[in-house]
Amino acid sequence: MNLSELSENTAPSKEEVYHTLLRSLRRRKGFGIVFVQCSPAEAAKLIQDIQKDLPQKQVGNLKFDEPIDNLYDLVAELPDREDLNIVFIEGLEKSLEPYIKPGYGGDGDYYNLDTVPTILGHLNQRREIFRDHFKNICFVFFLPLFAVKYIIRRAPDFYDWSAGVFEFTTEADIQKEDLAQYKRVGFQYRRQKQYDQAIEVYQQALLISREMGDLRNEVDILDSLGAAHFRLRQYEDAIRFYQQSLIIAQDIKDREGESNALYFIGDSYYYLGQYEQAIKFTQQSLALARELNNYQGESIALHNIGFAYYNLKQYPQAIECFQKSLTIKQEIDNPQSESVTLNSLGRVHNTLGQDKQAINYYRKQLDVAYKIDSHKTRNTTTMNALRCLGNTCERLGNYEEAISYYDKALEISLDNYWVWFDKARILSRMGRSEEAISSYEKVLEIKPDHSISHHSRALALAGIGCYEESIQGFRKAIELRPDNATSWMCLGGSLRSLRRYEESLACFDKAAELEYAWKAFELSGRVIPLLRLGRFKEAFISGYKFLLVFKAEWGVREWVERRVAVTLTRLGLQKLVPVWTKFLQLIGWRVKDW
Amino acid sequence: MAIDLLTEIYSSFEPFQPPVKEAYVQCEDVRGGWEVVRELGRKITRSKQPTCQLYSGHRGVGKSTELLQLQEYLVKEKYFVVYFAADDEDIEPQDAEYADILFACTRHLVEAIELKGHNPLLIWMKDRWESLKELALTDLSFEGLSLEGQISQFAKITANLRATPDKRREVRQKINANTPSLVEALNDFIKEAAKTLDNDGRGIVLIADNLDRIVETQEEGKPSNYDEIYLNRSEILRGLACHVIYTVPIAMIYSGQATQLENNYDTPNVLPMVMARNEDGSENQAGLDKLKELICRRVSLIDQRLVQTLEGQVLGLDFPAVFDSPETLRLLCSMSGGHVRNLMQLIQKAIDWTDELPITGKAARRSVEEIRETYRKTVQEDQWEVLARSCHRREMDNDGEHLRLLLNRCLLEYRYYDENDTLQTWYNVHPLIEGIPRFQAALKKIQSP
Repeated sequence: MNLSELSENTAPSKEEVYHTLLRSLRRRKGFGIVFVQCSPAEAAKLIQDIQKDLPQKQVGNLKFDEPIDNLYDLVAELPDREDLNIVFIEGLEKSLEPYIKPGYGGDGDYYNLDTVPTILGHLNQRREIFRDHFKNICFVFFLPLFAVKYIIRRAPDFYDWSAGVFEFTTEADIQKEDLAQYKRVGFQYRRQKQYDQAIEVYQQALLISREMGDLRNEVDILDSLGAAHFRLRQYEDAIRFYQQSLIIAQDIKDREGESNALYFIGDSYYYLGQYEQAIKFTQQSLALARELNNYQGESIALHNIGFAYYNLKQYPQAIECFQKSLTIKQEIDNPQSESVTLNSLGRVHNTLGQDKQAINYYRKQLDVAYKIDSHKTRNTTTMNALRCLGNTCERLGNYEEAISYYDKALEISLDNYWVWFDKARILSRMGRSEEAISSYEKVLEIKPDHSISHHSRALALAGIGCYEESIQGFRKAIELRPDNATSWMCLGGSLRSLRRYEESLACFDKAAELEYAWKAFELSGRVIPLLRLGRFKEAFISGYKFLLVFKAEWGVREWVERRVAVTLTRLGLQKLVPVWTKFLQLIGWRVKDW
Repeated sequence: MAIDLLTEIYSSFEPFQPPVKEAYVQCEDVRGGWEVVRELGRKITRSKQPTCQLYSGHRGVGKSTELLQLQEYLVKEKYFVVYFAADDEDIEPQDAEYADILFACTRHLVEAIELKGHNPLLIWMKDRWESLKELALTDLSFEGLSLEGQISQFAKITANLRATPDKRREVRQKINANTPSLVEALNDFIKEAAKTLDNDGRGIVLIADNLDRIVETQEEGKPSNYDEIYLNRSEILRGLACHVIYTVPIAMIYSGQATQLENNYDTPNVLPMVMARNEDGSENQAGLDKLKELICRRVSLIDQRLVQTLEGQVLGLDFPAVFDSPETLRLLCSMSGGHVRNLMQLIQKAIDWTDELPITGKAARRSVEEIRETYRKTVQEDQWEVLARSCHRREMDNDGEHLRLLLNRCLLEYRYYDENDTLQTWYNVHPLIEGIPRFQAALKKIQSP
């Protein structure tokens, strides 16, 4: 005979276990401790059956819905306890639940050294008194698995006196059920975007799946954990889980799981800014997607690789990937996905300064957008294309055309502050200050704390001589972003116009203090106030220094452009504004985004 | 008829009753020569000074049974023995401090020995009554109480100490502040008491059983309550003027502080397992025979004929067999790992699977499966490898991980004297664990190079 007597796998049926329990209870002459492992619903049924099958036994019931600290006293108070043979106890697990903490260590933190559930300490230390004072009673505890484990581990002396556990639900049943339940709950949390809670639940599910050795489910859960961390922008954690998932997926030859994990590892690296790594993993995912004829996956992977190249400034490779992705997306007829790639192509060409090509792609995006089924997605895509078109036209100096795109966007929705903002910006560049001001006000209706709009509106007001109002605007912008040197500069300018020189000087100094780049403007801005204040020597020094440090790229071009446009408009010469803009284009004054 | 016999047999293996005197079996030979009188008793009878001994062993291995044996011996030797099994009237198992133990000892001594005249403990109580009566939850004056009433205040204070967890800290401070004087008063009491004993009385022995049931708790950055009680406050536990035996958690004996424990007390005494198997994994015939004797003695008290039919039907004897074959009995004995309570549980479980005698091999195997299940639940996921390594090396490390496994009997300790009369100690996992597939997998992992 082998000492180890390897475990047999023929578990007894519930019927057999029930009969064993009956025998055990029937034979017991007095005190005893019996554990029955089952669900609460089964407990109720078992109690009924036992009472029917053992009519000769006097039974008592204790059922708890709340945690208890002392079982002894409750038994002592049972009215007919002298005559009882059996006391059924349900719900003792309620006293243990508050002590369960989720954790990584093996199987949750049942065996936690810093606390013992009070009731377990009580049972463990009082077992003699139970035996000596309740000589006639056999205690039958109906408990779920976790509670049985808890008692074995944390009230071992009490458990040691028992006649063992009668199992009506096997651990495997329970685990299966628990796992499904955890997965359901985790999924709910994910849907409600409560990712932290989802992670906690999935961690539990992970432990169970590992204990069960259920690799298929483990891959699933690891992926879900990865996804939740990804959503929380915890990309390192996401990578950690997807990498575990990858290993198992490879092990069980789950090619799709493998491809999926590789894809998300790549994507996580992308967001971490590690573009080479992103390309490496996404390419592996791509190869698998191709092998599996997963066109959707292939096209998305290509798209992501394109973006990684774009960020590495390897534009030709980026364009190549986007083009390949686009071809597949067109073949599988997915207009939404197609529009995303068209937009990306537009962006690469924008970056390369090929604005005309970019416009082509944005127009195609606009065409594709009409095919999208979902109303909401269609509108978002269309607006996005219109905005890109507007911005590109603006770069090309085609202001009127740009405005027409923004107006189209406004036809779809008046609620997007950025459309109003883009439009306002162009209007102010064109010197149409009043219109610009009202557009900025639209922005502020939608987004009252949009500091740039406060600033820009104030700037436009200053342009038409409304200095008092502009001062208020700049102050509001400064209130929202006190470290914005530009607003301090402009506030200085408006104050200077109102001859409030001392205040004006203070603003210039503040701007220079915040940002060294403004030193030159501070120097130039100080000249007039100092002259007016009669501090000629200082004025001269400031002016001289300005000439020494001035650099042309400091946004002065936009300023010159707008000032001239405003002046032309004021003189009734609006028609000359496009000529002026074209002139600037011709002499190579590429007007940057403001 | 058969059912009744089964019920009787079933009852005689209750895991919660120490055996009746007639069923006691001397296991010295198979417990590494351990014998309670020699191990604990002689130290007391040979010493003129008060002794303080620590005693430990696996839960359910027979500690209390042996202590009761010792008590009988000591009484015969003219000692006055105060034995108490600390229950939760005495200590709060999750939050026990040395003061609780001291107070419990005091309470049991003062209750057991009635001093007619001068009672130092009552004087101690009286002197502090103003600050203590709050703890006893009474407004009565101490003098106003009867003698019995005065004595009962000790019990009341312990009871209230554990009943008010919120105030426990505050109350403890009060008691702690009075500890030195309490020890002094207690010792005076013991001296007074010794005088009142019979002329040939040899002294008082206090046996505090069940202290090993205090749950180990440890907060971050603090010593565990075990260390606090047995090491940091040992001078108080050792400081009593009578012979004392404390049971201590087995984990304490093997912890990193074991040396310190030996410095503070005498070498702690551990009651070993019955050696049902040898270090090389083979069965130990003497050990198995001893376990068989244990069973035999118990059933013989029901009906002498059961002794004859213990291992199967006997020709010419019209009486049911207990076990269907010697193998069945052997299986249960060897699967117990030499642990007495486990053996009782295995037999009871096997009877649960039996409608009428004899207990069959099938029922025994079922029983083994079910008790094995308990062990499977005991082991935490991260402990399998630790167990496998111990099984492989027949050794254990003295770290927390192993100690916990020893405490919950997943690891068992055996002792024997080798041919050179040297004491050998070895460890192995419980035989029931050996059969768990999860364990076998871990073992394979360890053994593969």
